[in-house]
Amino acid sequence: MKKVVGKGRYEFYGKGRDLYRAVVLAHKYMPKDYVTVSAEKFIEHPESYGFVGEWIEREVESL
Amino acid sequence: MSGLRGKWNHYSILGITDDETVMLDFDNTSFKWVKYWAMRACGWFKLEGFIILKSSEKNYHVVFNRKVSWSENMRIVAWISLLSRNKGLTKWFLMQCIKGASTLRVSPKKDKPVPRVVFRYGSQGNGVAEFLAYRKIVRNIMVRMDSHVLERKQETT
Repeated sequence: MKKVVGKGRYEFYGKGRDLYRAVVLAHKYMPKDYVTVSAEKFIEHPESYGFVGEWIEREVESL
Repeated sequence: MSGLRGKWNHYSILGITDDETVMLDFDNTSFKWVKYWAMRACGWFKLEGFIILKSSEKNYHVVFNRKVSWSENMRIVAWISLLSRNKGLTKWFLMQCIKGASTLRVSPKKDKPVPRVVFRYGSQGNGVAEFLAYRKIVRNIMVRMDSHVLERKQETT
């Protein structure tokens, strides 16, 4: 597996059901950058906002 | 709620972002000191009320009730950061300025648990109620994802 150091964050807005589906999808699509997008749009085209991958370790300084 | 007592099964950290609700993130600060600054800011800026959440040992979040503009929001946080001389809060404040909105964590993070409400003061019907409603949505997402992961684990074994 290829390892890359990346950074990014998703900010979703929208309805509860869409938010849930977006969060589930977000685990499969690593953010391309600091992304703010409606949950509905993200569900439709997740590949536009992230690329397929898996977090293997993570460091978050602050929220 | 029982689903949240176990460990969060995911690497992700979930938070709530808002630019109209005044929020604070105090690191390495005693509860007494956090309460003092929350009370002082609440009175000085007429913020109606607030809740204090304990995010981990000596780390607290504050959410105020009155909705404000983003510029007033940052004016208030800057005032508290400057007068309280809290390094953690100042750093958090600068990061929120860069992002253009305030974010507080609502999921566990590494060995830190889910932040829980430890103190309430004054009116709670506006910003506080909204924050708690969103927090409930995020908690439901975490519970659903936890059960989803458990189901998948059971399928594979």
